[in-house]
Amino acid sequence: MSDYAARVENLGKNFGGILAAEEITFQVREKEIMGIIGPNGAGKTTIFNLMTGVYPPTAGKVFLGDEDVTKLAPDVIVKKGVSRTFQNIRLFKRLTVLENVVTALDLNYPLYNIGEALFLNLPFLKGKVKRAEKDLRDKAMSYLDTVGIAHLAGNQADSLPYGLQRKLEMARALALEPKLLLLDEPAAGMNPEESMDLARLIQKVQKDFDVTVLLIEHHMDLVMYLCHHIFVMNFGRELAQGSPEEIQENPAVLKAYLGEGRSNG
Amino acid sequence: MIQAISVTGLAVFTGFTGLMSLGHAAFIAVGAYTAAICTKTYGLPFIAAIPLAAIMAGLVSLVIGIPTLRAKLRSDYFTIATLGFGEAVRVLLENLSITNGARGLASLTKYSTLPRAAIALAIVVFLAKNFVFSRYGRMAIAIREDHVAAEMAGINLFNVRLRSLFFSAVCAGVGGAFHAHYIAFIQPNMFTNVQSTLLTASVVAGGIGSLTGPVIAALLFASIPELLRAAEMWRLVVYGGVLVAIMVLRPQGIFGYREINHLFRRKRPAVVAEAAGSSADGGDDS
Repeated sequence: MSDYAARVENLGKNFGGILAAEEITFQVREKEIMGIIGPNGAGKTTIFNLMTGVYPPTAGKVFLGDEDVTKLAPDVIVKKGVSRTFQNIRLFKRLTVLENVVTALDLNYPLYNIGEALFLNLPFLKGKVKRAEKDLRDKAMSYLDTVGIAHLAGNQADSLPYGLQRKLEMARALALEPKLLLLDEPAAGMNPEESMDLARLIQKVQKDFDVTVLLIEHHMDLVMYLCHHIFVMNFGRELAQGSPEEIQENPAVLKAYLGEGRSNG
Repeated sequence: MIQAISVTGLAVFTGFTGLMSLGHAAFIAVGAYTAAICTKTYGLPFIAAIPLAAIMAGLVSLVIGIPTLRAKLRSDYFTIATLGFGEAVRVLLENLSITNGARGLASLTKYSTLPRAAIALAIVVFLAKNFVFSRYGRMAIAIREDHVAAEMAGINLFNVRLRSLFFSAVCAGVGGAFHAHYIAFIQPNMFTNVQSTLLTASVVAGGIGSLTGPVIAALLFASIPELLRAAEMWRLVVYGGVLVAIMVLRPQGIFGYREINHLFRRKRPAVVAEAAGSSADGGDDS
């Protein structure tokens, strides 16, 4: 019944004495785009990893809707409707662009079982498996089309330029049909023009697929343009949260980003 | 030929799941003993002994697979675990009465003829091919490529890995059944870690992520020592030399990440095909 797609409560992570995150509390409202910003090493990606079960938190809880998912494994959390992209792109490099998306479709469309798979060349089953594979490919193509890389479907994933690999990761994440989409620096390495294109794509995706988006980003123009709500981190802790306007005027944020007295200008 | 049956199974496991096993001789041993006991002690026909050997090997694979894969052991730790497991199975065979201890089982009937082995190999390769090119194979490859991303794509690492381990053990069991009825005599020290290492060597030399490569490598490696029989003690040196040469000249194996028919059929962009081999061409697209 909650209005929140997700919330974290007093989340903490301690890596052998190093506090990567401490007392992190925020809510992601349904169907909004929320941003997490902060200097490098502030613990932003750690939050994503805790939310997706890559490692368990040392303190606190993660909720999806009203459900506590703190201790669940990543593949279980994915089934509950969370998918993500990675800061250091993690594609299935030696598979084709299309196969990367098809792999993700398997979660919601397991179209045949292992017996059918093993004996799939026998005449009476061949049809079914072949048709299933074709359906999956068609479906995957529509996701590639959404992010605008359908023409590259047959290429090996790691042959794509960096920016397109990020888009492919997004297509793969969308193919999991998430309710909550986590994007970890989707615009990294892009120039201002490209990153604004990406911003429009994220908006479109949010609307077309009716998802909630939580993103980590360093491009301030993109964040300020896209996000309804921003969470700022520094040294593993909350620095501030609020609307883009509030964040832009927050003295603590300005200090963290620009340094005191702007001496390093 | 018989070796190739077992190698096919291992090719599916190591090549597509990315985990290295040094204990596969144990599955061959289990298959060999199961089949031998079936035909010799219980007088079952060979054709019935093969599936029993396969199932037995598969069940034994669950014994090692469930605890190690559930713990998500990283590849090298998993390899060490299989190494210990292989030894444990051998010692067990040496001390059980049903296996006749270290003396082994002798005077088995020679059921393994060339045509039979060829048919079995064909069936195993056919099944392996279907496995690899299905959604199960795709999930296994996804795990090999990036297990974190695979998990975040909703893939259950444990299920997929266990399934391919089971599959490879079944193949090894069939291989073992044929082996026992070819040599007509089995004893525990035929199934040492050296044997496992040779299997893994075939897979790596043939090409990780390929099915035909390892099969061809297995056939090659089985025949090289025979062809060089005239060279007496030097043949194993040559054998080692061939392995070293393959690794130096083609680190990705004879057919790394590709099947033999791709060489003729699939026209992938040339750049992509080469990218797998040379790691030093990352900078030329910027």
